[in-house]
Amino acid sequence: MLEVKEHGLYCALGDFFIDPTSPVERAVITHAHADHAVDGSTHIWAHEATIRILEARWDRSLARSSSPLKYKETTEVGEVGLSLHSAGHVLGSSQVRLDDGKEIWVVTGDYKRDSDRSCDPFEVVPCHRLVTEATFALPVFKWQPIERLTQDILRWSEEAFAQDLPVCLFAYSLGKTQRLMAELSAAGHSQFLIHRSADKICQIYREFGFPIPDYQIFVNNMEVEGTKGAIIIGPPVLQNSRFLKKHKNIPSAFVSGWMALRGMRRRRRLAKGFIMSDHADWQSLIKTVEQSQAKHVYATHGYSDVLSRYLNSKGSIEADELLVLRESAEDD
Amino acid sequence: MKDFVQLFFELDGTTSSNQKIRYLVQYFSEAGPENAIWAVALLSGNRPKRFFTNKVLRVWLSEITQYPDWLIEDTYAIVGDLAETLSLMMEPWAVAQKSLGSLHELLSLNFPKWRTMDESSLKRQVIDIWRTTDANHRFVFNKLITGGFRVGVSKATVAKALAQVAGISVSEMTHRMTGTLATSAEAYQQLIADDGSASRSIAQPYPFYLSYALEENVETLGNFFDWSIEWKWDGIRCQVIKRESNVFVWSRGEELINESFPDLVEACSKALPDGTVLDGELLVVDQNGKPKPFSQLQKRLGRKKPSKKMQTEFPAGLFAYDLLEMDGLDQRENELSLRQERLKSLLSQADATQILLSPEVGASTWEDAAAWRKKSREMKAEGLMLKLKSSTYKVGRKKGEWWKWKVDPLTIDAVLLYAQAGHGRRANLYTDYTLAIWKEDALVPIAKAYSGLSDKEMTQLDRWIKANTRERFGPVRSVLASQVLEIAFEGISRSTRHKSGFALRFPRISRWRQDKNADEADTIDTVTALWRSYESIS
Ligand SMILES: [Zn+2]
Ligand SMILES: [Zn+2]
Repeated sequence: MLEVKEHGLYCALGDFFIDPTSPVERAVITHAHADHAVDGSTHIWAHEATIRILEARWDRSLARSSSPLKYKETTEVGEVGLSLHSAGHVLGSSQVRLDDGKEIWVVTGDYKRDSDRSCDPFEVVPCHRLVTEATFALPVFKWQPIERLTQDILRWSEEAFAQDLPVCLFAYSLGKTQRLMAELSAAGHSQFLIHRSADKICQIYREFGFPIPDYQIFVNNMEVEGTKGAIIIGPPVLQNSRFLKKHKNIPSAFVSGWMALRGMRRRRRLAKGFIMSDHADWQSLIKTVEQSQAKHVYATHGYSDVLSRYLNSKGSIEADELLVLRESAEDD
Repeated sequence: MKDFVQLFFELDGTTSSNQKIRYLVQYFSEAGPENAIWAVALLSGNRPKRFFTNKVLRVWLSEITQYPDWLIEDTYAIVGDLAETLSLMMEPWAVAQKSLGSLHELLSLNFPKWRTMDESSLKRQVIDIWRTTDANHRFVFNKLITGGFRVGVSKATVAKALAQVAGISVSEMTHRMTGTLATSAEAYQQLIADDGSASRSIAQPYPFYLSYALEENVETLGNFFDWSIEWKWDGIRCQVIKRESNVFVWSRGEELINESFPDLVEACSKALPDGTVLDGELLVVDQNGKPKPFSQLQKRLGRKKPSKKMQTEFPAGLFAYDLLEMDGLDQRENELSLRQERLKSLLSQADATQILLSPEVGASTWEDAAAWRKKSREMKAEGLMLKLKSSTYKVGRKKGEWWKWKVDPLTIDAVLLYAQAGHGRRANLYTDYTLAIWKEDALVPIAKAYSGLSDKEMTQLDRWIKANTRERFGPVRSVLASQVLEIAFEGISRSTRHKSGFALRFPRISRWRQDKNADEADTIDTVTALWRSYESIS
């Protein structure tokens, strides 16, 4: 039902691409991260929250060029029944389920199985063939419970707060920022300064009913006085901001799944890294494949070679790599 | 152990050397001398001998996790560090149930005991520790048992911290730390004694004075006649000590290398008076006192107790260029020109063909010197050393008075054939390349090299590699043969290691020749010609 073509994963029966890498006529978009959602396609199918985020990002209405969907709602596209199912990755993130009456395919997009107050949980969708992401498909990647992570962050912040300083976390504007806000707020923190690139997205999260705490917008010429006791959250470019260059004593840390590796922490030349990812870790990938009951699995993204070889070695599943070339993920 | 593990991750987590010094001072002040001395040893590169090879640990890990060998292998290749791979694969978030005891207990008491244990009891011991400690302890522990302990702190930084603890000068502390340190609490007390009562052993070397590479135009150094011009030899820098009839030969890495060079030890012991310390270059020399190429010295490297035949075939000699001690008196505060004069007269009285005065380069202008530098390879040298005649002999790497002025490397243009993901810092970037040259219509590999490209180019090439992969073999990808990279290297010799029949010395990528097509890369003929001209001069 699916094949890899020049612009990415293509479904001939419905004549659409899923997360095409360049503009096409008809595109199904799993979520609004830039490496999955390319502007310029004529018509888009996606979860309604994803459409809202894309409108904010591209700064125009998609009312006439999109079909906003809800989870579990089936639409006929060409000769296939298409439905979206929560992927637990970021707001609006969806797995794509395709049914041609003979066989069921599921394309997971990016997903995670860990708890997240800022989006709907992952839904297990049984299928015959599963296309799964494999960004962190190595047995060294294993995420800790989010409560322990927020405790670690708050403990690390104490010293700075005691000196009337803020701390700074580098995290992507869509997903990780909102997750950190929601989880840190649940853990008792209340003061947030957020980079403006995440402002609109935070409001869309609220529209969809997710608990985003009160926050202020971070600006470069702020006095430290006005930032004391706050957790500043902004994209990694913030590392080179005038504010942080001027106030070198403000502790900062990168928040990413890659921080599990010592070498990656050093590559970022950062004192501190917190391990948190919105992708599935090794155990979650294996669990998801098993729960899907798929007999045929295609691994894509990241360490797809490792995952497919491992699944094949277990015998009961046939696995392949599916190579779609993408810019590296903006959300790892 | 807990405080030491914490120190490790604190040091690992900062790039500021002042911050590192603060962490070290705090640790040394609280750890107690019997632990502190081990920390000094570990942080200055004295690692305990390994118990196991990485291979053994991989097998055990496979047994415990039930993961197939290849998976552990591939993961390790990507992470780039077995201790880390191991500590992450086994419950990274486990809370420690057991303590490892103190650093002293582990290294002075347990390690010696373990060395006498049979493998199966030792295996039980190690696996039990993996299971009952947290990821950070497990990581440091694995580093210690595999002999791979390393942390991003220089010996100079450790010396600064210890100098602060002791309240003495950094150069005095560096001197005390040079050579082999005992690992007892008493040794630590001696090390940080503030009254100068620290007694030195007769074997103790002086800290080496190290130079920086000259990057500016040589004329900026000023008056030519203020400078002494020497050859920068392509051998092993070493310090030769003769005190109380004993000879000690120390390498620049502060290893005692007497056993590997008994011929040199014997020559020194005959020819040098007591109370002499020389700084010079260890080389293989011929009967006429001419240095032989590095490839000959290589035959003697790492070989303990070389045979008589080895010693006659590849006789070791010393090209001395500095005098650090004479008649038992420290000469380092004297000016270089005086030290050189004394060295000259000392060696003229010495009767040994193997201990030679490193000849001066007979230049009389900077232009002259530049011309000599171009002839370095003919002299078996790597370039020139420029030393201010009035310079004292300093401690460690210092800018301004000593410069190394190396010859430009040799280069060839080769085609990228295979790429492999780097590890550690570069775990998801393809940065290790196999490069090939043309032999008729085929590309034959000539070298493997790491990327020396800028971060930006590296990312760009990584993306190109991912988009132009032809085949994948585990972590290796073969790519479309179209990208030309310039390889810089220091020497070339015949070898069967690569299909081209040549091996390059210290190959690294110097440029991405985006202006060239694959068919413009070097060929077996151009490389053979390069090798001939290199051989003829060396
Ligand atoms: Zn994503
Ligand atoms: Zn992605």
